[in-house]
Amino acid sequence: MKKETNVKLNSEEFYASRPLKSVKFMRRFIPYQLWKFLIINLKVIRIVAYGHS
Amino acid sequence: MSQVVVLGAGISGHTAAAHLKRMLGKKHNVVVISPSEYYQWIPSNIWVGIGKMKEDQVRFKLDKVYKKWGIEFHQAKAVSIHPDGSSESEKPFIIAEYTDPKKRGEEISIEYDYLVNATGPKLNFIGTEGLTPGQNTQSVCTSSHAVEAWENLQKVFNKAKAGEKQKILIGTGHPTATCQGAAFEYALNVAFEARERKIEDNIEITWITNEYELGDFGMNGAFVKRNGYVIPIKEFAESVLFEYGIGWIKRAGVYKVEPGKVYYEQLNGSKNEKEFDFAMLIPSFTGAGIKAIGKNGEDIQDKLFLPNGFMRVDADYTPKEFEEYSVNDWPETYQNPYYENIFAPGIAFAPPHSISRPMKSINGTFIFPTAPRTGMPSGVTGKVTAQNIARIIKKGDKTLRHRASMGKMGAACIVSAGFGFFKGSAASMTVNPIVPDWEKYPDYGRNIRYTIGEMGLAGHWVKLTLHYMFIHKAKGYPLWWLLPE
Ligand SMILES: Cc1cc2nc3c(=O)[nH]c(=O)nc-3n(C[C@H](O)[C@H](O)[C@H](O)COP(=O)(O)OP(=O)(O)OC[C@H]3O[C@@H](n4cnc5c(N)ncnc54)[C@H](O)[C@@H]3O)c2cc1C
Repeated sequence: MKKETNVKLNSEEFYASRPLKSVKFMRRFIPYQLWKFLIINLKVIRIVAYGHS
Repeated sequence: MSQVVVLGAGISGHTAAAHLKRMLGKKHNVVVISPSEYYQWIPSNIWVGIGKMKEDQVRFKLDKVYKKWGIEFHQAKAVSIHPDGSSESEKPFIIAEYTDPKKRGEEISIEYDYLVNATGPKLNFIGTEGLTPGQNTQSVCTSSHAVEAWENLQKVFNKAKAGEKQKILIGTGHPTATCQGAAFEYALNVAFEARERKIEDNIEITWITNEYELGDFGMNGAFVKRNGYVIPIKEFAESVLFEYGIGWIKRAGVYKVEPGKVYYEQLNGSKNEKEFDFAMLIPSFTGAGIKAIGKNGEDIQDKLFLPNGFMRVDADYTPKEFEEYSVNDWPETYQNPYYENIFAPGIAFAPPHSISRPMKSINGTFIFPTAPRTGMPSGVTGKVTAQNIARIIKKGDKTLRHRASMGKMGAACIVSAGFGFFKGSAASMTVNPIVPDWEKYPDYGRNIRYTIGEMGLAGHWVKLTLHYMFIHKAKGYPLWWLLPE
């Protein structure tokens, strides 16, 4: 996506952190995402399970 | 035989009714009163609003499910609660007005032994001048609003495709609106769709919010573990918006909308305008507006409701400074302090105060997000309410054993950022507890051990799984009760 369209130099947006190519790649890399899918589910289940008595 | 009446068939009321019937069986009656013939899985409205799901994929008719479960259903809207009965009868009752087309406008009086008020929020569009969904602005708060939003968004996309520059504004439509997460998701999905259609160069998207910092989401922000650091969600939110090409206006209280123009005040007192071709703005929320009436017809509103229309429960409503806010202010059983047979789970309960710091502009306007109550706490509180009522009815023991405080329960926020099994994306975040507990967790207010702050395809799969899982559960398909709230 073209960021420049809406982000002017030295505007507040300019100071946002930006992902590297490797991070973007991992976000789409299926084996890694399958692993993440498992992790997110486990963490969510843990949070739900301990949430009420 | 006891009769439990549940007002509202949303996430909280439907969960409560389903568990009540499962636990009470045929010996007792469960009655649900809700104005729509449908149950809708509101979180997926975002996908209806970008044309990725049809309305019927996020909703289903309630009568079939309730018939199967043996729950009595009235398509009606509760108008008053009479907890002391009337001059003719001791028994408490409610009055509802049918919205069912066959009996529209007729009133019905239903007695109860236990009452669950799960009427959620009233979308208070009239709280902001000109904030009319389908006219000046759009909404995705209901599935029909989302259908309309998508129809209008397509017009903007078509103009952009034809080379016309288009301005899109998404965010909060009132200085104290909440539910930022939903609007944030919508902004990301709209940006994603614009990119898919290769029209992003002609579309300027702006996120407008009453948050002090991005990522506040009405929970005073949060911290997550990421790449060897503990970072504020603010950083995460700014980074995601930047990546999606979305600019932002923060600390902004929208007070007026005209066709194509929004007026807002910022915390620094400045009054500004922003033009748009398409705007999706979340209204403020109030309670459902049900009246509370005493035995002789007197007004007892104060016993059941706070002035904002949300129901008074076991929270500490003493006015306090932000520094004195405590997790112990938050309710655990959702029982009304004056009537022990009335409960209010989900959004219907009145929170003791905000979670974010209340902020006032130099003109004296409050500009900050009020407390959100998302799907998970709404479902969980619906379930504990059902467990407590079922226990009282079955065992006769009035001790409320089941408790769920937002100061103890965590929440998972899966913020959709694009649709598609291989192309989709979502930001997955967890917070635990929802309301910061500064005594227990002095550094961050929350336990950061099990937090996540991840962006990627896996989040989209989780969000999609949740959609199908919760629809399966709500329809009462096999083993539904094993699925967590
Ligand atoms: C667009 C959008 C996206 C969201 N996404 C997420 C998400 O991804 N994750 C998440 O956790 N949360 C999300 N939420 C929040 C979530 O939808 C709410 O927390 C949840 O719906 C609250 O449940 P509830 O049962 O309290 O209220 P509701 O679901 O609003 O249900 C209230 C019910 O009461 C009925 N009712 C109203 N007035 C009356 C009356 N007078 N008499 C009888 N019945 C009445 C209504 O018709 C409705 O059936 C989202 C919200 C929106 C708007």
